[in-house]
Amino acid sequence: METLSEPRAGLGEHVAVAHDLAKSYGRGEGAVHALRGVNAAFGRGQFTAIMGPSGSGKSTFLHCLAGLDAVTSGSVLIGDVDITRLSRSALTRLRRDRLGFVFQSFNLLPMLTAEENIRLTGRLGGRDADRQWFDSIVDALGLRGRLRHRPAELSGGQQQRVAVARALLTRPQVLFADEPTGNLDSRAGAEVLGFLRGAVDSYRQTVVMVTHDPAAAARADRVLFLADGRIVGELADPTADLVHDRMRTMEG
Amino acid sequence: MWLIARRSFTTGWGRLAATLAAALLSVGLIAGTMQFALRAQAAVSGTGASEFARADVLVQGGSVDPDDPHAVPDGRVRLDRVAGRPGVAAATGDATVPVTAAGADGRLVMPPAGARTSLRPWVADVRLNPYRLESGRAPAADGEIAVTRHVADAAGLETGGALTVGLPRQTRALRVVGIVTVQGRAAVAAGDLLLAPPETVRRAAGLPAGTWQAVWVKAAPGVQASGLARDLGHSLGPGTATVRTAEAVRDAQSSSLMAEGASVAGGIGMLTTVAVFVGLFVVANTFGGLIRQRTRMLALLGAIGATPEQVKKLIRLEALAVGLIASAGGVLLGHPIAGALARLFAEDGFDVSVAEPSFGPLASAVPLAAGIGVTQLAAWRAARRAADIAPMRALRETATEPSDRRGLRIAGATAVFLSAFLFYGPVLAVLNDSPPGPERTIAISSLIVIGSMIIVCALAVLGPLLAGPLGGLVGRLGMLVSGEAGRLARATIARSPRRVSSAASSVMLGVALVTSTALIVLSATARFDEAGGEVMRAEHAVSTTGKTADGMRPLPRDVAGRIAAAPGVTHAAALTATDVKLVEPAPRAYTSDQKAKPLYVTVTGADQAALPAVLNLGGALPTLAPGQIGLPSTLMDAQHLKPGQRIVVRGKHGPVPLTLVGAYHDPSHLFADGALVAPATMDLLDQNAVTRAVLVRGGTAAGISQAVRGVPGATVLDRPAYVKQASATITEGMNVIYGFIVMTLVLALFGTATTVSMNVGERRREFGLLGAVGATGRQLRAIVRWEAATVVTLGTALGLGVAVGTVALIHLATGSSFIRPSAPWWIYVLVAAGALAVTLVTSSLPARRAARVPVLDAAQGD
Repeated sequence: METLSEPRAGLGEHVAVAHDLAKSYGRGEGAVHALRGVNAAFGRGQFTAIMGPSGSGKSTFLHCLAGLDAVTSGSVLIGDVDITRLSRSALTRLRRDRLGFVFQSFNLLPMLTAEENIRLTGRLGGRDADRQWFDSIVDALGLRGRLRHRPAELSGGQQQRVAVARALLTRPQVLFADEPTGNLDSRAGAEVLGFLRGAVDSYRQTVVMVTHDPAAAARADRVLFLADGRIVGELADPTADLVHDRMRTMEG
Repeated sequence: MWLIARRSFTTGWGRLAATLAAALLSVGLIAGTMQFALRAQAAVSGTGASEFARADVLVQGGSVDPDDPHAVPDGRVRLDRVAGRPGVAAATGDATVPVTAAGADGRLVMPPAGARTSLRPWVADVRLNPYRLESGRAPAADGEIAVTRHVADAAGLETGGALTVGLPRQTRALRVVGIVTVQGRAAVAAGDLLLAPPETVRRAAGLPAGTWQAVWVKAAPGVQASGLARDLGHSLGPGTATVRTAEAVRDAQSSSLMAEGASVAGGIGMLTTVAVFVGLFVVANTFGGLIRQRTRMLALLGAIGATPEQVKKLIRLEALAVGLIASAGGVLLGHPIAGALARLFAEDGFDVSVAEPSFGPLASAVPLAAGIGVTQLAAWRAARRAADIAPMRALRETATEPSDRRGLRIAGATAVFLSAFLFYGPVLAVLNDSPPGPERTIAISSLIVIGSMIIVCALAVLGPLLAGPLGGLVGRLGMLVSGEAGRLARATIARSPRRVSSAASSVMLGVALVTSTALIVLSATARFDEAGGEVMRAEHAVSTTGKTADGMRPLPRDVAGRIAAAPGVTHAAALTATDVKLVEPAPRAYTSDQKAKPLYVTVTGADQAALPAVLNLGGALPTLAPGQIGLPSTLMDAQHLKPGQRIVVRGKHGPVPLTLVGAYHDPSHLFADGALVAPATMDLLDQNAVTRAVLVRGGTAAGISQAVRGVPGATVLDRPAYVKQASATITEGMNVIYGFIVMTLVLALFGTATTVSMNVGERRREFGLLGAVGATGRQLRAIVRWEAATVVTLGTALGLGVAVGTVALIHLATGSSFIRPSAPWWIYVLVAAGALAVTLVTSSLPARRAARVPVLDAAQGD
């Protein structure tokens, strides 16, 4: 039961497309098939949540989509580039210039201040973001007073906001978020989700987020459900209850 | 705890491997020097065999230097005046002729460490004969010899082979008909013996028929040796002979050997100290890295209830395991190292092969204990630091260093720094209490070197405080060149100065070792070249290749005459040399509370007419007539001697009165460092004085070569080449020091490699993270390179500072013009470039590996 999920009408071109994506670990009898041919497309300005029970392959799917993990077969188009055919360094450059990431563990560099962490990706690419864009992100995330602090001096929520700011500053074509609220309490988590939602609404930012929290998924424009390495369903305009019900059914 | 220690030991093999290897190398170095020291000591003092083993009484002609048990008597004894006396059962004549021996391939046979090779008569009387034939037969005809087993082994000879023997006045090929041992040993305390029929030896020693330098006596049954000695002394009359019991001579021989062995052990002990220090430093550094790497795990242990004492114990147990394995391996590794040292020493004329390599408990147990001790001591600080890790740090994301207590660090460094003065301080005392000379220079240098090693430690403690600001500077440069990579490097250094400084301190150690050696060697060589070139007027010198324990292999005496006859030669002056002892006035002690030591001086004999043409000596020494002597001004000052004074010296043939006519100065110390006499005076001092070189004015190298054709080993050298060769005999021992420095350097390099690669390795996660946020492999390598630049700058600057400071201190303290902290600028550039290359090479591999860390591994945490 393969589903080709179409973007909602009126949202324009696809910025990321997965075609027949398969990923397996090991070989022969003992091979584990994490993805068994996944097809999906993500339109500009769309906020997609990916859900599924543990072991469904949802994180693997996100990693393959974002070029963090190699695929066994199939292709991933970011814009018009098939990233599965890129060399390591070309892939790094593409990730740096066109994609953004937010991880469950915040992954800030401990020796850099908040501001340096935020600017890091852009600077590694040799581009300094314009002041205005930096200011508007920092103010939107409420980090103004924290810019000179080091990660160890920030709360978890603040650290994750720094990570979001870092990801947004390069104006990525797609922002990937892997359980961004997993390490946060519900209030801080809600804040971070609010910023992601705001970025989608205000700047037409494309966001793809893996989560296991129905409340988080409810903030997305649509939810893709994965089970056993395949997409098993899709829900547009989700609410927490709808997502919850669907998950219940899937987990049986 | 034991379980955790065992588990982390077995699972953390890779991590521990570097520490293990560093410990192994340093224990190997300690064991190697130790085993060599034991072997050298055995070679020097263990050959306690005496050729007087069977004799009861020795009757030596004239008088004998009581301070030298191997001295050749200066008078003669007729055998028939001793043989047949009451109480004498058997008597045989003895003479000693110093010789050199070369095997079939022309290579010189080195006598055992510190001893000589001499020609002695074969003793036919079984009651006196100490020589046991291992193979072959006794020498019967002129041209036949028996040799001690060491000679046969060293020359690769069997009976029937030939030895080229350099006698004082000629060179002869002698056939080896027998190989002997003495008291089961391959050589005697005096060295190697070539045993020829008595008549051959008598003629070589220039003795009339029936006359000998000494007579060995066997007492009749029931006659006490001491009583017989007294009787013989009375009947021969005072002044004509020295009569002693053989036992007294044997005792004197063995105690002189003990003293020599102790001085060898002392010198090697100094080298061992450096080895232990470097080992300690390197192992401590790697242990520190090991703890940093495992901060999380250790903190976790703390969080789940391990007490700081338990954590300490855990680290100590690991250190014990590392120490045990490394020590066992190191003891094995020590044998090839000891072998290499033995070869290096042999090249410098100090052959220890007469003693077997030592596998005894001392050679194994002591390095084993030293290895365990070193690793425990090295882990001490690491264990304390591990115990200090707060459990909270287990919960943090990435390991960052807790902020340092600056004051404490400065206080610690100051304490270490001050303790260096425990060694610097006594320098002044040594300076006041001992006479100038090589011994004092060495004693002072040793003290200063040990002091400087402690300074190295102080700087290592201080390192983290220096790393931050320096990292800021280098990072700024890095930002200009590499942009963000430079900024990241700078931020990393500012946050983890300890990591940078631990790598920098290994670089510092290596740089300090190399630079100080280079400075000393270069300044000494430059000074010898300069002074030697000034003093030597002759264009050519004829010398020989190969060395003996006493310096260069001597030339036969007739060579000077042959060279003088060569076309174009205007002057040819042979430089002969012998050692004499100052008898009158009695040598002065350097300070009033010390006992005066016997004063031996090497006298150079030179043709007075030719001398001004070939040598340009300082001072205003008149032409020396027979019976006159000139001394260096330093010696005259030290002994309060005045020109015109009568002095008495003991030469090879007894006391000789001489007139001191004046002072001179040989700034090169190469030609006439001890004293100067005319050839006629030299004959009074030592008829068989060896010719070290012939200095030649005029003529061509080819013409001179033609004249000395057929003289074994004779080579014609131009001025710079001869100066180089002559100075090489003074700086002998340098080969060993080079070898040793190389081994220590390997250890220091290893330490650098381990620390640098551990530094990169422990940041796998950080590099992966950087990769996740978009750093390319090139950028990651740039970060590592800029950090390396900081490490190199810090390490090189400190190391150069220590080296230059050490050499400057030695120069100041000793006043020696041969050790100066001035070297060509390229040395510093070379050392810095070397340090840079080492750091880049050692960091590039782990950096490459780090750049390949899968992003996901890092991004998902551990």
